[in-house]
Amino acid sequence: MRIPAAASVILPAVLLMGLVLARPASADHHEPAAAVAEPRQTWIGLTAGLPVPVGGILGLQVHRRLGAGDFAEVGISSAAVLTGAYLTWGHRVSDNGYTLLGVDAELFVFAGDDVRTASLAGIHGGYGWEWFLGPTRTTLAVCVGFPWLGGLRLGVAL
Amino acid sequence: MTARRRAGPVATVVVLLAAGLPASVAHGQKPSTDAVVVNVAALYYGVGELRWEHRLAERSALQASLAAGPGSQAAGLTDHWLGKIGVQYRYYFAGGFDEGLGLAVEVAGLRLLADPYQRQGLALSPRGVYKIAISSGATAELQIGGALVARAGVDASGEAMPLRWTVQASIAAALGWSF
Repeated sequence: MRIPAAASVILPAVLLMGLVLARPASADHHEPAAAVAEPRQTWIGLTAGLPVPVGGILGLQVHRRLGAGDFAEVGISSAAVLTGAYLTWGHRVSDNGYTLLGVDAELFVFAGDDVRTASLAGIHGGYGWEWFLGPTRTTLAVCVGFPWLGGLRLGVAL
Repeated sequence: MTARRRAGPVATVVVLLAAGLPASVAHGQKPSTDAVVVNVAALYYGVGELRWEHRLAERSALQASLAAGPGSQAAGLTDHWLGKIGVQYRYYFAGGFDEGLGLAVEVAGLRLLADPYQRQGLALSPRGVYKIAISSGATAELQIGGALVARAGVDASGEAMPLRWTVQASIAAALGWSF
């Protein structure tokens, strides 16, 4: 399945707009996001990577709180020739900021006269921010990966 | 063919994600000491893999694995017989045995039979692990990492093949039971 090129542009733009709209709401409270009310345990959402942090351009992610500021993110993402799965550990360090560190595995599929595949593992790390828009959790993370270059990872989850 | 190659691992991860949705994790109950899971990702390669994990302490555990199968056409592994036995040590640095995120190191012996040649190998695999066991005992786990594989064997003419090293991705998406 090929991802329309327009989707890789439009979706991040929509997500960025959501982040901008969410900014005033996050400035109202001074406690860590995890401490506001009874925190939800599970969030499920979409991610967009620019250019392709950990596995691809578009992805599906499950975010799961593990207590004491820790959380796990499990996701899959895909671009035209690249499909990846990743596992990320996040740790909150400020009101809406968190550090992240994880492992990922990518499957490359080279389509042509002779379809060839290759797989490789990598690690990634970075820093992220989260904002809450009612029931919606929006995130922006800067990822640095090895051997992959990394980039920005945007997320919207319910 | 391309879509089929990609659908397998994606589908298994989606199944795993779906299994992790329930919020009723076995927190506050008597913690589990063992978990038995089947690696559904290995089924894509035509291999059945059973993994048994035993808790050693609050955050550490050992997992033994046994796998065998004929390979699958979808994965480009036909006319083979694959076998693997391994042991893994893991430490949950966030959460605990019933739901946690951990680091693991696995050592596994590999055997590949494809008449008339055969190969054997040894794999060292560092991995990240996430496991969740809900209150009913149903368990899902995901392991992602790399593997350093050393392999040697005998080719079709009976000549010994030189030792070869490869580095590859390693992923396990497993469903099972904790008790």
